[in-house]
Amino acid sequence: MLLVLLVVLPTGLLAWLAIRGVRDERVRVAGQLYAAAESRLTDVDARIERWLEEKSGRLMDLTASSNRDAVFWRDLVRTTPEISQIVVRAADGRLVHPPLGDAISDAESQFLVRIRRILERGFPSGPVETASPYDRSQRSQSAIDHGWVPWYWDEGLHLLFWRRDPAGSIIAVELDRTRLMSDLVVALPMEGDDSRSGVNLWHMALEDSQGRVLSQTGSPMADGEAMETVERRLSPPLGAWVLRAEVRSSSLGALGIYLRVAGLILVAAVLGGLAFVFHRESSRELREASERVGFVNQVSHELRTPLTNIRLYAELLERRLGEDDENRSYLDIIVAECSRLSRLIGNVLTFARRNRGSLAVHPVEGSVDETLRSVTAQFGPSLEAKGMEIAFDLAATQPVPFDPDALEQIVGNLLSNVEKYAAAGKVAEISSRQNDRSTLIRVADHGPGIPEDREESVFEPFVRLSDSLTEGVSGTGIGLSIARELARLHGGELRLVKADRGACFELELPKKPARRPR
Amino acid sequence: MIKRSRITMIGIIVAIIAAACAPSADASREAVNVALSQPVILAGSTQTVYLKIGLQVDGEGDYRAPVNLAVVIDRSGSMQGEKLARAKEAAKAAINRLHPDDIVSVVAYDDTVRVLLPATKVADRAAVLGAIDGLQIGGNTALFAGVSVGASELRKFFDRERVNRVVLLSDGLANVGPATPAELGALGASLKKEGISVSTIGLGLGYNEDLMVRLAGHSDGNHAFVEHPRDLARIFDLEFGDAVSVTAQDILVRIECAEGTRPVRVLGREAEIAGRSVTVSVNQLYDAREQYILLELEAPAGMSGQTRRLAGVSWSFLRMGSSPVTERGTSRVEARYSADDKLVGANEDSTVMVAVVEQIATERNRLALDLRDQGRIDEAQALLLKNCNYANNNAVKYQSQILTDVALENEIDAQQIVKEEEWTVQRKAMTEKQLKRSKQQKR
Repeated sequence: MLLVLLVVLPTGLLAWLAIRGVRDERVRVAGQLYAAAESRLTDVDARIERWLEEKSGRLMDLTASSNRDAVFWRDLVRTTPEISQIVVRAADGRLVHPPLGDAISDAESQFLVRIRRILERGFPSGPVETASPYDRSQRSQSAIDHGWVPWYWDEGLHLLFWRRDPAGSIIAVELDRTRLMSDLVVALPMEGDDSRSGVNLWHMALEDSQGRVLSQTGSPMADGEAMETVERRLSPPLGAWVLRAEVRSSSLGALGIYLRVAGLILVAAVLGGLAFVFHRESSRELREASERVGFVNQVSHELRTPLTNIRLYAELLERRLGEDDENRSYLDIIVAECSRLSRLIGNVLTFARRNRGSLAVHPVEGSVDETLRSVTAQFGPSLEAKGMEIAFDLAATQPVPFDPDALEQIVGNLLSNVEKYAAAGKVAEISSRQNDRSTLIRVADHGPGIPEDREESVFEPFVRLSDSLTEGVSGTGIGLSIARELARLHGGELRLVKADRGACFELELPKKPARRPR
Repeated sequence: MIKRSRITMIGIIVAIIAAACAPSADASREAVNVALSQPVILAGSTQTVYLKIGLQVDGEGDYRAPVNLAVVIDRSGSMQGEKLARAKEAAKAAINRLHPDDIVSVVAYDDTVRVLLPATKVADRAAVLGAIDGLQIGGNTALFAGVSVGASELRKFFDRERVNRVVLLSDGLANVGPATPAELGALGASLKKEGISVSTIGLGLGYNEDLMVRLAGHSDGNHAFVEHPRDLARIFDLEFGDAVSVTAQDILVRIECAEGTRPVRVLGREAEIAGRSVTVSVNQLYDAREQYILLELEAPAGMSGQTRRLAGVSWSFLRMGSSPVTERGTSRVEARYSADDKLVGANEDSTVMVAVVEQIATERNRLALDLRDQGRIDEAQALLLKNCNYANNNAVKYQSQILTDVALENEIDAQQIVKEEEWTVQRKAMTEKQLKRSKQQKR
């Protein structure tokens, strides 16, 4: 009886604590995501506002003078994609354009009918009191001389831009509604969901006044899938349109945490409460850390698309520039910095994949030395900039099976550490050797080295994890951990070896790769 | 003596032949030809006449227009399998024929839009083809956003001296974003103002032909109905070939009618009619192909023997070539009045009349389609048969192969339109033909 109580009571207590812990965690993560979603919508709204401001400036230029004839206004309508119609009214209220009577076209007379009420109501004048940001009031200090008027007819919201010229004439321009929507679609951020890694956190949609989706990013939520919905009306004059973001709850892996915790409780019931408490304490930190990386993982995905474009264009440009072009050095820096950023993002994504258990290597027959050279070449400009030299001693000439991307990532992480921590040593040594069983690659530096008591812990994830998110990610913490993981997936090993000075890492790749079950 | 005169004769004949050939050899044909259906009008009452403005600019030598193309591909679920595989092949084969200096971008859409390849020169062939290989199947059909993003890729390297064109391939109904034929038509019209045209390729039987035809029609692009994916390669090839055969762009024609003459309508094209002035713009002309603007006029009553000016036509266009140049011109349209209706008939311009019959038959073909949409199948068939007779009679009268073809098309339509199970295919085939006839596109 006592024994049962001894097992049941602590187990029950622990289960309760664990569930509460997970719940708290979910709330915390959800809060983080909610905040991120909100700031994102604000950002999109600001982008649209800027777009409207630019549009306003362009229309001001196009309608600089009211003293024009019908041919001019019609040509303007015919050649300006965003304008559907124009009306010009003199200061005394007389209609200048479109011409009344026989000379008016059907489209023009329909336009006059639909804006009749707005013309009757007139346009604001007098001193500026509440100038909205899209009113560029600096042109006139004392009076509003232009602005937007939203109005509704037929299928929904339309925008009218008006301005008053110094003579008091009003020029009002109707924006083409379809074109407005098309331009907004293009102005909205567009990031592809990464179906390969299965990460798809956001769904964001812009809806018109009838709740019709104009454009969206991320795939829509299934029923009950959304965890948080954030809504935001666009700033005027597009106040009838709504931005909506939904955060995918399944992406938080909340269910996975539940199952894991349930499993742990079961183990705890068998092994005893004490062991469980101990285990939980030690794993808690890790889980929190990986939660953060999970979040950074999402951000990284969004960074990847623009980065790929920057890289692509920079590389295209590089191919086009002559060898001795003076701009080449700038471009080299852009390309090198892009590779660095790609590497960081690659690390985060690899780490996330590892945590999901879906990390794998795909060895193909190839030359290790060749890959080493190409990785090192990426570091050329940034190492040179720090006055560092690379000493090669490459002798792994036989082709062996390995995953070139993984090797690139491993060596890239090692070199980036050298660059960060051992620049004072001025030298980076890269050597390779082969024997019957394996290929050995060493990356060594003449920097301060690694203290003996930290030799093993540098390979553990988040050893350097501090409160700062970015430091946790860019520090050696996950870089070396990933590098070792990738080495082990090859059936090899990454270790720190004794050196006279500085740090020396040795990577061992077996000639016959054994894919280790994880 | 005899011998010498023979030589002289031969010399004269050669000279005559040379003189006859010279204008067509050097100064190629006039780019703009203005003609009235009745240069001699029946006196006494107001008369309906047609003004045809034929537009044709022939290419200079083996010049080929540089292009800026955005290939926009539907990757919604329904494209799965053969359709997507064939589309990829077709797009790659067509892009492979482009020159290194041409610009291409690749956009794919389902619920959302993705730029697979930002606008780039074809010189980077591997990157271009790789982007197409990366195309994967997704979910819904955000057609509006797809075309919008495709156009924005064109704007990155927009150049009036290039052919700027979106090539859209879709097999489904647009269901995300604006999705009515009117809205897509408006998008097309707005893009045309910038000099961008959208060619649409409808694949299979599931797409909305009204929407695809409006989008293409309002932007002066082509439309093709492709029933089987295996035909995609041919259509892509045709479309890309069409783009590089452009010889003139930004064509603007204004017709100012004289006092008393009233412009009634422009057949087959969008036009702006305000009072007595008519404005029509055409995005591009192609090598060795005439496109025309056909304006119906109401000529004032005149007295026999009188000559009246009915209208003035002015035009401008950008002639493409190694050094593109904007050309302008004007022309007066005059008519003589006569009480003799035989003389009126004898002077009738058959090339203008062929165009008139072609356009009127196309309008009636549209009407028949509307009737069929309303379920009035018998009336639709009767109208098509009537249309066939109308075209046939005129084909004989004006000795016209075009009108013989029109008659045949209407006869086939009349047979097919009553077949319930064929209607989906038939409707797509009819809308495709109507656009080609009204805009004189390549068949």
